[in-house]
Amino acid sequence: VIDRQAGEKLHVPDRPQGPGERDRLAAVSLARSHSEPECFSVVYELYVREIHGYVARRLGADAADDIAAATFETAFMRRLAYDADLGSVRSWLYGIATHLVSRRHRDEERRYRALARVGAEPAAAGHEDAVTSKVAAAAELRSLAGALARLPESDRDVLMLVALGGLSLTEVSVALRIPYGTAGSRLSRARQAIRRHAASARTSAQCAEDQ
Amino acid sequence: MISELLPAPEPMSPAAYQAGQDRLARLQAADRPDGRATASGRRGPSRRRARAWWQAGAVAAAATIAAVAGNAAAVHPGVTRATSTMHLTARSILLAAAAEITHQPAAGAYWVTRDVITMTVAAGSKAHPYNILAQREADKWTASAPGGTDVGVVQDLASGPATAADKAAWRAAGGPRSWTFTEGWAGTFAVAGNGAAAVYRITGNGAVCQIEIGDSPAQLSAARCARLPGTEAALRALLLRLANAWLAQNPPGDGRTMPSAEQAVVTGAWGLLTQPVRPAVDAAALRIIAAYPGVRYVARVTDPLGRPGYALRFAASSGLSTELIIGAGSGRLLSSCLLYGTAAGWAPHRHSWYYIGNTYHAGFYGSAWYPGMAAQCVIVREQGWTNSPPGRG
Repeated sequence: VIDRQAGEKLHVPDRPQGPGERDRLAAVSLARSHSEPECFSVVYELYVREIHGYVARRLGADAADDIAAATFETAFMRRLAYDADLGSVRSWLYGIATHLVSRRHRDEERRYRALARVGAEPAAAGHEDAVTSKVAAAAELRSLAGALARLPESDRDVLMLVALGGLSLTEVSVALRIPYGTAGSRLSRARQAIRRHAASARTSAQCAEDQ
Repeated sequence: MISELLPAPEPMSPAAYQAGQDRLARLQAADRPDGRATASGRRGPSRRRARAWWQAGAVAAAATIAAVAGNAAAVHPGVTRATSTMHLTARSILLAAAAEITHQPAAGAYWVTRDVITMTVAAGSKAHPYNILAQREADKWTASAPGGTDVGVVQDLASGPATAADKAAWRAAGGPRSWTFTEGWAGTFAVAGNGAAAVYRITGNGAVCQIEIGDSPAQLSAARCARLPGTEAALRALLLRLANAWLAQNPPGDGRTMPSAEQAVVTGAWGLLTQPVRPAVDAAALRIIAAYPGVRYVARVTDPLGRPGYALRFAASSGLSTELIIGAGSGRLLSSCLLYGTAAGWAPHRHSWYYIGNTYHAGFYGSAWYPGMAAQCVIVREQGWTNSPPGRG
């Protein structure tokens, strides 16, 4: 029974932010959206920014606007097929987004090649150490981007889901519908390729300096 | 390493967020039971259940009025449905209302509400259970400042069996002409009404308000009410924080289905429409409801006081749905009703409490519960800030 004279102070506990809590809310909302489509908006609210960030890192912000929206359209249309036993809503969404990104793998490779040429802009002014570290980071980015552009698309998907999405190998295998072992071998292959490329980039940089 | 090195993107822009939401909303609308198309191309049993829900609601609501007001086409008690060929959407009506409401005074010596409140109340005996539709006229002037004098005038209007079935049970029970309730909506309700208006004056706490999230309304001081955010984004963030906190503390289970956070937010926004807040807060609340894909336009109607308006409906918390009538032309809130629904997992409560405006009421006992039935309505004759002294003008 409500006492409208009581409790003047508004107590607002912190919004639950943990991934477990978010995914529980997403799973409940997704289940409810079977009969009440509007409930799917909660899934959108919870994850669209994260998915957008993931796609933007791979394809840039403009493409991310479209693909993030398309991810949730696809997810909504396939919501009856989502199986909570096979993984979280979050990893399921990453899988859909990755599939949509892979349709534009040429754009992605073009973006990495561009990054490999120019890198990210270092800060124009600032503390010397900060500038130095940014220049170093830019060099590393160029090296990384070059390696990413050369990776086979399927290996790159696995690497990006782990590195950017923070998915476990089990989640990756479910999201991409590939066997666990395949996910693992693709990941280790991708990591080796990145390391190899970074090492050779360092060597050529050193040789250039020595000359 | 990769996540640190790859250029961190700009956060998703509000425009992109909105565009994505709109794309999703189009699919949701097409998938909704009243939509013609279905996006997934699959029609599972769950969607058939949802379809039945709306249809049952409309039929049952009509049945209520057939008995009470003798008008089979109404939406909730006393409401007459009109025909219109105009293309209207819930969103456009609500956004227009949001723009209109900002012209209302933002402050005054009193917050005045002059309402007719209708409530479906359980009555009768175990052998002959029935519901009555009880009606009460309630005017209230709440002094803005704490310590001021609040003035209220309450008068019970004519009450009677809610439906044709209730009327039969009422006759079988001996056809009493009055009913006395000792809890919740306490008082005596009579077929003839109650001629005497009760006037009360009390020292008030100022224009306190509440935010209704789920079944745990947050009580706010007058000062806090005056500081409530007047923009959609900020109000939504506040409501979402409350909704998530409430949902975290009330996980589904024991046969209980919880609303989504978004539903709880929209219900919270709806609750603010009858609270003593600034018009900007009302406008923000209307925009939140407008953005909710679940809100739908029902019909152009004439409300129980004969005012033309638009009926809008959306699913609220706990299997209830909410119906608003927005004044045609004025954009003002004409009435607000809670309707019983049949959302999965919801069973009629033996004894429920609900809160509308500044009054709380006993729920009803559920023997004659049916989907689409109005649990309670507030018909708003006047609402807003005023400097005029209390008195029925």
